[in-house]
This record gives sequence, C-alpha cells and structure tokens, in this order.
Amino acid sequence: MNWVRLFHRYILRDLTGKPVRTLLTVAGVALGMGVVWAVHLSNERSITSFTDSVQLLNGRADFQIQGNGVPLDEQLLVQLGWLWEVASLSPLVEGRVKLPDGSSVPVYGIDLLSEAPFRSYLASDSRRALANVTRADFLRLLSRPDQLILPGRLAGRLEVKKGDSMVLLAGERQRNFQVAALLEAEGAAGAFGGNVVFLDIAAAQILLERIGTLDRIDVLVEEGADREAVLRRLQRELPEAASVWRPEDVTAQSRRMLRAFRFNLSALSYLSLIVGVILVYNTLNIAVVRRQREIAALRTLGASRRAVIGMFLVEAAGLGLLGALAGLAVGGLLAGAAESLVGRTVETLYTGLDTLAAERPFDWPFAGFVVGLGALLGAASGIYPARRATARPPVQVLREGFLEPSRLRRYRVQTRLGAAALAAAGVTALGPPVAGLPLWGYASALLAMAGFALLAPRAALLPLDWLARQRGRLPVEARLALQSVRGGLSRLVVAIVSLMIAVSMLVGVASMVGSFRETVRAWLDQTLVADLYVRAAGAGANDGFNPIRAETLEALSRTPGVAALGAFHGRRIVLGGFPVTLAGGDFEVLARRGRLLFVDGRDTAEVARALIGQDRVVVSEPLALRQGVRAGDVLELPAPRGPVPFRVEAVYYDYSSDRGLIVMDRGRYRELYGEDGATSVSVYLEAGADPRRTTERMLAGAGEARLQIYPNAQLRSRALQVFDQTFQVTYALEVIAVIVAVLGITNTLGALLVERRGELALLEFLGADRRQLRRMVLWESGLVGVLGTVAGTLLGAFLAVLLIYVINRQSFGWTLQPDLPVATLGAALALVLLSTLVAGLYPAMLAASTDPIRSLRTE
Amino acid sequence: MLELRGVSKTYGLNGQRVTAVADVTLSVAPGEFVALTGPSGCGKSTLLHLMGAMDRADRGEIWLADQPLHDLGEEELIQVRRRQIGFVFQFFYLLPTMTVEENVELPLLLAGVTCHLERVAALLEQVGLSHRARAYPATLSGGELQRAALARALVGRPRLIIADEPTGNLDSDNGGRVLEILRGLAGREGVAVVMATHSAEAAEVASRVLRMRDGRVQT
Repeated sequence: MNWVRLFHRYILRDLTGKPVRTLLTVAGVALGMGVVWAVHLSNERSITSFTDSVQLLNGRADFQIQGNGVPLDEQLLVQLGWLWEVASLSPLVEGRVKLPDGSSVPVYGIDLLSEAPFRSYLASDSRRALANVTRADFLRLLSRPDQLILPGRLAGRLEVKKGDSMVLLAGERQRNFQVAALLEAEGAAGAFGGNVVFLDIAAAQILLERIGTLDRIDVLVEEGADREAVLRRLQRELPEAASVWRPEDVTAQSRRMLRAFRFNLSALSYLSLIVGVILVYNTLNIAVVRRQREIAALRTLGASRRAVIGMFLVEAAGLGLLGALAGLAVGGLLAGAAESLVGRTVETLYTGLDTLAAERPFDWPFAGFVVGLGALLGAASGIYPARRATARPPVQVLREGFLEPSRLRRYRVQTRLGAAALAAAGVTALGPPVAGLPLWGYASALLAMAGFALLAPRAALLPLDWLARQRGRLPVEARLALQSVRGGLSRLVVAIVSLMIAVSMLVGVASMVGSFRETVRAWLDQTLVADLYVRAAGAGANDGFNPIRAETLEALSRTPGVAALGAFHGRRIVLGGFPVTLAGGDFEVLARRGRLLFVDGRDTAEVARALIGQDRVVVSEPLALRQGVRAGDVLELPAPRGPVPFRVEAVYYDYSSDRGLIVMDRGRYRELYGEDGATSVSVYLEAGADPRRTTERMLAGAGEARLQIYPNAQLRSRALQVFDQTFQVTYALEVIAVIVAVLGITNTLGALLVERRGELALLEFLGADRRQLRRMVLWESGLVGVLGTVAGTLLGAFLAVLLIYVINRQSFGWTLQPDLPVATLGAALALVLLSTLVAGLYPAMLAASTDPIRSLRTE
Repeated sequence: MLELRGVSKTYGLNGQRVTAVADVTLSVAPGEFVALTGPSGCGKSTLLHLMGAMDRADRGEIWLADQPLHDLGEEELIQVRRRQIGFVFQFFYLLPTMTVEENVELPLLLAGVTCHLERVAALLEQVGLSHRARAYPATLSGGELQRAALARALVGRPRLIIADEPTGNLDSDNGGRVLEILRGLAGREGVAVVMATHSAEAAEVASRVLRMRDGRVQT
C-alpha cells in the first residue's frame, strides 16, 4: 500500500507534472501501435476476408472434386453413382462477371436442389438468411435462366431491388437478368463482403459458356459413412483430369498465395513500433538521469533497490500500455486509409476481387495482444534505465550527481558488440527462405539495426570531434550546441538511433521501390511492344475467365491495318500447392514481333521457335524461384486426359504477378484443352496504320462482342499506376516511422533542456541573449537530425541491398536491377532534416522562455 | 560606478506580494569591495540580480557607469552584462561538457569577441589554473572550480563583479584564496566587487560591509 502511495507521489505526479513529455511519449507508442493495429485490420479485412470467403463458399463439404484448370465433364456426376449412396453432392460452376458499376465479382452457378446440406444461404435451416426468399422465388430461379440472386448489400450498392432487371457482363458478352431474390449477408452470401452473384447452375453454364461442364463438385459424406474410405476410393476412381481436395487444402492455397504479401506488410508495420518503443526507453532513461539524486535520496530514506526498479518498470509498462490503448484508437483511424490501399493492392495483384467491403467483428484477441505487447515492450524498455537508477551507491550519487560515462571506455564494449552484430547481419543475409518467407533476411535487417545502434555513439563522436576542432569557424551557438551534444551523447544517442532506424527504412524501402519501378519500367519498355492490347470487357483484373471467342479473334485479325495478332489464353491451376497461371501463347508471333527477357539471356525468337508444336514451356521467374524450377526440368501439367510432361525451355523475367506463369505454345494448348479463345490479345499494326482508327474498326468488326482495347502507352502507364498504388501503404508506413522518430527528438531535446535549465540560466547570466539560446537548441536538433539522417542513410543502403536481393526475391521471386531514386531520396531526406529542425522549435521556445533567476535558484 | 536610488522589488508569491528589496539607496565606487550580509531570505540575491542587470526594479533607479539600467531595454541590458558585469556563484556553475578553458572563454564567445585565447590563458595563469586548462570540471576540486569561475567572470574585463556566496561551498583555505583574488581585483584593477555572504570571515575581507534585513540595507 505504501508503495502504491509512493508510486503515486513520486512517479505519477512527475508524469502528470510534465504533460507535454508524457503526451509525446504516449503519442510515439500510440502511433507505432496504431500502425500495427491498422495494418492488422487492413490485412484482416482484405486478405483474411478473402480466405474466409473461400472458406464460406466451401461450406460444409468434406471434399471438393476439381479439375485443376480443366473443366469437369457433367457426366462425372453420373459416373460417380456409387458416391450418391454415401454422400450428398453439389455441382458448381464459378466465374467472374462485371456488374453495371464496373466492379468485378465472383458468380456462382449452384444446383438449388442439392445445395441445402452444404451452404446456409438458401437452406431451410437458416431462417434469417431466407428472410427475403420465398418458395416462388426458388421455382422461378429453376424455371427461368434469366434470374439471379443477390446479397441485399450488393443490391443496395447497385440500387436494384427484387424484380428489377440488371446486366451482367461475362467475357465479351452481356446478358440481362432479373433479380429474383435478395439475401442477407450471411453464410455463402456473406462471402467477399456480400459482393457475389448466385445463379442457377444451368443459367451460369449459359452465361459463362460452359455448357456440359462443371468447375467443382462438393461432397458431403453422410453420417456414419467412412470418410477416409470415400476419399481413397475417389482418389482411385476419378478420371485423370480430376482430383479430390479437402476444403482446408483449398483455403491453404489462398493463404499461401497471400502469405508473403501479408508477412512483409506486417513486418514493416512493426518498424514504427520499434521506433515508438525506443521513445519509451528514451523517456525513462532521461527521467532516471534527471532524478538520480532524488532516487539516491529515496534510497537513503529506506527505499530498497528492488522497490525503485519496480516503480520505474511499472512506469515504463504503464506508458507502453497507455500508448497501446491510444494506439487502438489511432489505428482505427489509420485503418480507414490503409484498408482501401491494401484492399486495392490485394485486388489488383492477387484476387481480382473487390474485397474491401467485408465487415469484420472487432478483433478482441489481437487488440489484447496489442495492449499486452505495449505493456511488455514498455516494461522491457524500462529495464536498463531502472537498473541504471540504482547502479551506484546513493551516497556517491548524492555527492557527485550524474556522471556522463567515460565515453571511450564505455563505448569500447558497445563498439565491439556492434561490429559483431554487423558481421552476424552479413552472415544471416545469406540464409535461404524459411517456408517461403525471408525470415533470415529480416533477422539480418534487425541485426544490422542493432549493430548500427551500438556503433552509433562511437561513430557519432568522429564527426562531432572533428567539428569541435573547427572551433573558430563555427558560430558560437553551433559551438555551444556541439559541446552539449558531445557531452550529452549518452542520452541524445537514443534519439539519434530512433531517427536513424526510421530514416534507414525510408531509404531502404525507397531504394527498393525505386529500383523495382525502374526495373518494371525497363521491362515494360522492352516487352510491351505490341501496338494495341485487347481484353474481353467482362474480364476481371487478373483471371483467365470468360475469354474472347475464336470468331471474335478471327474478326479482329481481318481488321484492315492489323498485321498480326498474338493471342494468349490463361487458366488457373495448382502446381506444388500454389495457384499459378497456365497459359498458351502465340510463339510464332512472339518470335517474329514480340519480346520476352530470359534469365539466361537467350534470344526471344530462338526460345519461341523451340516451343512451337513442342511439349515445352517457359516459366516466369517468380514461379521458378518459389518452386525451384530450372530450365531443363520437366513439369507434369494437368490436362483433360491426364497430366502431360512438359520440359522447361527457359525462365523469363515477369513482373506482372508473383503468382507465376507457365506458358506453352498456343497450338499445343488448343490441342490439350480444346480452348481456342483468348484472355488477352496483343495487336501488331501494319506500318502507317492509325491506332485510333484501327481500334474503332476492330470494335465495329467485333459486332456484339464487348471488348476493351488499350493503346500501348495507356497500358504501360496503367501498369505503372498500379505499381505506384501498390507501394502507397509502404510509403505511408515509413512516413509514420519518421514522424515517431521526430516526436522522439522533440521529446529528448525538451527533456534535456529541462534538465539543463541551470545551464541555460547561466548562459543568460554570462551574456547570452534569447536568440542565441534558441539558435543553440536549433543547432542541437539539427546536429541530432544530421547524425540520425546520415547514419540512417548508411544503414538504409544496407537495407536496400537486403530488400532488393534477399527479402523481395525470397518473398515474391523478382530480380530487381538496383537503381537509386536519387531525386526522391534527396527530397525525402531534406524533408526529414527539415522536420528535425521543426522538432527543435518547441524545445527552442522552451529554452528562450525560462526565467534564469528562478532556474538557477532551483538548481 | 554603481548607484542605486530608492530601489524596490516585490514578487507575487501564492497570491501575496512579498517585498524582496525595499527602498534601497547605495553606491559602490570603482575598486571598492562591498560585502552584503544578512539572514537567508533578506533580499541579498535579489539585490545582486538587480545590480547585475538580470532583473528589473519595480521602483527606483540603478546606474552603472552612468548608464540608467532601469531605463534600458532587454537587448541593452544583455550588452551591459556582456561588457561590464561578471558573475560568480556559490555552486560555481561551470558547464560540465566544456573544459576549464572553454568555460572561461564562454562569455567572450557569447559576446562575439574573437582572438581571445591569450586573454583566457593569462586569466588561468592569474588564478593558478594553467595546468588544468584542458580538464573537465568533473575532475576539479571545489577550490579549482571556483577559481575557474572567477576567471570566467573576469574574462570580459568587467567593471563590476557580482559574487553570490562565492566561498559558501569551499573550505577555509580555498575560500581564503578566492577572497584574496577578489580583493586583489578590486585593489589592483579598480573593479567594483559586490559579494553576498553569510560568512563573517569573508565579510571582513571587504572594504565595506552592508547588512540587509527584510529587504532593507541597514547602515
């Protein structure tokens, strides 16, 4: 009880008595924690909601029969006669459609009569979900192929109601439908945040042009039947092209696809947290130094070492806890912006679906984790200062006060440790990916940060000592600032280190993104050589559904001005547990006109000709790296009549998707899969043909087919736009880390000035005017800023190498050509320096507004 | 040299006005060494701050070398402090991050004076600290610290030295040495010295002793 009272009087009163400093500390942690929370929320809402949606649509099925990129023959349902005895079956057709508002959503063709045991949206056991569905609706859906069911939320967004008609665009065709029923966003209708359309299976087959085929058959084994036996028999008896999956395998594929993206984003979010936690350490450290005499007095009055340490640890944990709680509120606000950015990126790069709107309940467990982590990290950051508070005998402290540690002796151990950490960073950087994640890479980054932090005081003395030797050339304020920075380095170094870490990530990430952008731009320049690019208007962002039909291709090729068409058809398959795209490309056209960049530097025409008519493929670099595929390897590719071995001719650079592409000659693709449409088409014009007029002619010649035609330049700029948008979140995270570090500078300088008020008063007695005091403080913050920025830039250079050659490559499989964005970096660093000066404004005002007589008296 | 005419200073403390200095009139001639004695809280320090141009009187006039300190602006007071006044404190107040030499040099730097290293060296010689010029304050004894502070007070060639309990934190040997320097300054160089002290021994060294009680100087 007495300790509670002492804590209140000694610690709490100090915290509340210095509200600005307390607030800055809490704000630093809050921002750091807020970023972690915001990134978690946006990950949850855009990534997890995607995998959850996949799970919702899997329903209660025990197994799924799928064709792995090859449609299943409807007749399979008949062939599986034995299965009907022990299980319920539900066939599905799935695809993508474009809605009137331009968004791309999944469409599911379901067999209404067999769905009930699998999914709850139409089942009679779900009263709420059926609130708006009547028996008549069912019958209408079954009897008319122009009926659809929408989740009520989607209907609300599209401003349609039951009975209204609406247009769906699938591939190059559009069809009119009537809204037969609205569903509540529960069960399957809650998937993708309710952004999903349901049709009767027959209607879906017509709309998606899959007459006679299915994409999936869900199997629910009856109670009492032996599931494993059913699974084994299915594995034995299914035709070669079909395979059976457990739903968890399907969900795992989606998770795996998004794992690296999610992991890297989370890892970056924890960076601001590190900077925030350093701030707590800083506050405690300064408080302990400032109050050393008081602490000694407390101890002489009977406070035990343990009690003093305990009080400071509780203070540190409390600051962390408060920061984390505030972080939940800050994160909630940040999440709004982060979610739309992350969501758009996930949509563009991975799912092709608008997954933003998915509502998720408040994540209590993760909120608990954030709060617990705040308290824990806070307490951890207080350990050293708390121990330091009681390290010297109280009598000695009372006699001598604070002693700046004998710098070189103290820094010697630190410097050795720092060098060891840097060496370890170098070694760990060479580590291989762990389960597809660059864990060693991140370990190396952390070690490098630790190494630089440990080396910082010794390294900072070099320029400071050099500057000190230039005495005569510096203005007096600069000399004073220099002396106080040198003298107070053991305390200021924490602020320098936190700025260094923030700047290093800024430099590292900006260099990586800059190199990436330059690589992509060069790649686009070299490989995007056709004049026009065509897609079906109803095609989603990144899927192979709903191709342009063969007759449309034919019409396009006859258009005056068109010299050649390079048709490309892709389908999604699963290879090595990862979703990848298997495609057929026009290698004849590629050999003559197009260009791919091969990792081994081979000529496009040579590789392309080697593929024509052969069982050979080229694979994209991300796939090759992730699955360890090399030229000369043989891949077993799924086909309707069973897997076909294809030899990998070469690996090519591709930055369009990290999912991976396998491309074979279109002729062979057509033979194997019977597919003569195209998901995208490159158009080469005759010399002198006008792209705009040719586009108009192509659209006119395509008749009813709805097409999107992009000129080369537009596609190129759109690709770079998508690229820039993808990295907006990353930049935002870095900027927040810098803000936290700048708060740290204000906090440290402010706290040190309070500690140095006697010194400031003395300067006034000795003739300093207030302008000089202000300038001196600004010089101090400038010096801290320059030291942090320079150290951060050096560390950032190492991180850039790590990000480019290790982390990015292991996560996404891309080779990037290093290219420093000098202008961007220069501007960013100038801004950082400017903000460190701004950080000094408040302390400078503080310095110039103290009452020297009072200050000296209280000293 | 220094003249105070009817000077008063009151402070607001917890809502009440407290008179720190009441109607003080006195003058200090060049080369005079004045000791100001009296119990704690009698107004010695406030009077020193008024004389040292660190504070403003509520009433009365303060003249230093024919300049009316009571009429000067903030900027002009700073100039007066830089050129004409040196301070010595009980707790020395040397900046711990600077060497002895750098501490002594400090007032000149603040005043924008260049080419002063010889002056600093001569002063350190004068106070017997040449051998500790590069040392940091943490390694100096109390007596050395106060002698370094004295050198700092003298570096700008002031006409007036304001010393607030300069021997209060020193043993008698060191205290005596400091007083000896102060007396020498007044005698040889014509500097006016005003020293607040509790010590009767210290006051004896002065050429004149003024006693203060309740803000008033008793004659």
